[in-house]
Amino acid sequence: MNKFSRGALVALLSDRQFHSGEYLGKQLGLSRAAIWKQIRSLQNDGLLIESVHAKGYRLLSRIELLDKDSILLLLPDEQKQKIRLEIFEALESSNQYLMASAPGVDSNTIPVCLVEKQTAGRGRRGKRWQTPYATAIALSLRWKFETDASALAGLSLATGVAVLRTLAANNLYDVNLKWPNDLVCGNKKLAGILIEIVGDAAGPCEVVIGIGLNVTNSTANSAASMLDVDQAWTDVISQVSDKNAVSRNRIAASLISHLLEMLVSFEEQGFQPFRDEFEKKDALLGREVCVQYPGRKITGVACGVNESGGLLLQLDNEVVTITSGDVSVRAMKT
Amino acid sequence: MDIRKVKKLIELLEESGISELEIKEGEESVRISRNSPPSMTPYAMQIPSTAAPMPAATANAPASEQAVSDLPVGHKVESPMVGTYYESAAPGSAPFVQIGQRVKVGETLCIIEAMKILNQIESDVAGEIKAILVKNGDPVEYGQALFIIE
Repeated sequence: MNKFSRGALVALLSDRQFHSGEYLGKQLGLSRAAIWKQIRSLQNDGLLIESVHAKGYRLLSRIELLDKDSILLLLPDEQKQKIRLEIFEALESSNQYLMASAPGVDSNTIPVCLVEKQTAGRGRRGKRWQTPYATAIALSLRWKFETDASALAGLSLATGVAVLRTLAANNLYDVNLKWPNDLVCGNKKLAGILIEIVGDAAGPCEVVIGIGLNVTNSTANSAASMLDVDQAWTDVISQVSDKNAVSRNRIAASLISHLLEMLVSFEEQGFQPFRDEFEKKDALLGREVCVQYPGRKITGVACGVNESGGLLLQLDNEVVTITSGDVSVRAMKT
Repeated sequence: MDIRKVKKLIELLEESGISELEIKEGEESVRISRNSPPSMTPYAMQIPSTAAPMPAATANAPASEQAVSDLPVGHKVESPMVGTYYESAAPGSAPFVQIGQRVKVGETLCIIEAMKILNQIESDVAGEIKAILVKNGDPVEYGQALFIIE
C-alpha cells in the first residue's frame, strides 16, 4: 500500500467508531484482506485498534495526524511565506532527507520537514531514535548561515532554548536543559536535538537542525513503542494537566515559529541572548558530572555555561570549558 | 632520508599542538613525539595530563632520527571548528578513511563534533591519504591540520 492510503485509513478510523473491513476497503479501493494487513501494520506501529467480529475495526488510541494546512494556518504570515513545509508518512530520517535535498533551488525558502514515522531516526554518533507512528514530532529545518562553522558555537543550546519556549507556549513549564541540548523532565528525556552541518564548513554554511519531541508516545501500544530507547523518557501528554488540549499540529507550528525566531536572533547576536534562559533551566548546575570521550573521561562539578555555550566544569583546582563529549550525571548532590 | 621533510614534519607537529605523530610508508616509518606536556590552549577542552597518557613517548623518540622515506608533503585538511575528532560515523563502525586510501573530492574524511553539532569533513581535493594527524576522540582546534592528502 502506498503512503497516502495509510494516512487515509487512519483518517477514516480517527472518529473512533466501528468500521467494517468491507466499508474501509470500498473507501480506499482495497480488498478486505489488504485492509486487514494494513490494520496489522498500524497495530505493529503502536496504534491500538480493536477488531470485533461482525462489527469491524475501531481505533482506541488517540490520534492526531500532522496536517500541513492546520500548521500553516497557525503561523504568522511572514513566517508562512518563508518556509517550504513538507509532511511525510514515513522517512528514514528527516535530517537525512533535508541534508540530501538539493540546496539552492530557491535560496530564500527555508525547507522544513515533518514525518509521522522515522524508520531510521538518528541521534548523535549512531544512536537510534525511534518512536511509534504519529505520536512524536520529528522535525528538521535547513538554514543557511552567512558565517562559517566556527560561529555556530552555542547554536545547539539556543535551539534547546527555542524548544523550551515552545513547550512553555503549550503549557509545559517544568522542563530543564541538559547540556548541550537534551530536554528533560526530572531525569526523563522529553526531547533531543541533532544539528548537522551541510557541505563546506569553511565558507558560509548551512545546517540541518533536527528535533525529536515526544508528545503522545505513552498512549501507544507499549509493545511497539520506543524501540531501542535505552534511557528513561517521558512525553508532553504525561506532563501537562489538560491532556485534551495537547495538539501535535499546534506544537509543531509553535516549534517552527520559535525556531525561526531563534535563528534570526542567533544570526545577529549569537548565543548571548539565550544564555540567561539556558542557565535558569540548567539541569546540570551544581551536579557532579562525568564527560566521556573515547578512551578517557573527566569528572567535575557543572557550574554553568560560558558565552559561547561551553560547559564550565569545576575540577579540583581549576575551571575548564567542555565543548564536546558525552555528559552524564554521576550522583545527585542533595 | 630527506632531512628537509623531517624538519617540515617537526614544524607541523609543533604548529598543531598534538603530542605525537607517526607516519608509515611501506617498510619505513617515522615517529616524532614531544616530551613536554600537551599544550593548554585557552578554548580547548583542558584535561589533566594524567588523563591523556602519551604512549611510549620517550621510548620511541629516537625514531625521529631514523629511516624516513616519502614524507607527507601535500594538501592539509584543517578543522573548521573546535571540537572532538571522530574517525567513524558511530562507535564500532569502520573509519571513514585510512592511511594509503585514495579519496575523491567531497568524500567524507571524519566527523568533528562540538556541542552536538556534527560536521562531516569532506575532502576538498582528490588524492591519497598520506597522514592522519589526530586520533579518534582527540580534541581539535580551529584550523588544526587533520589530514595530509597528496
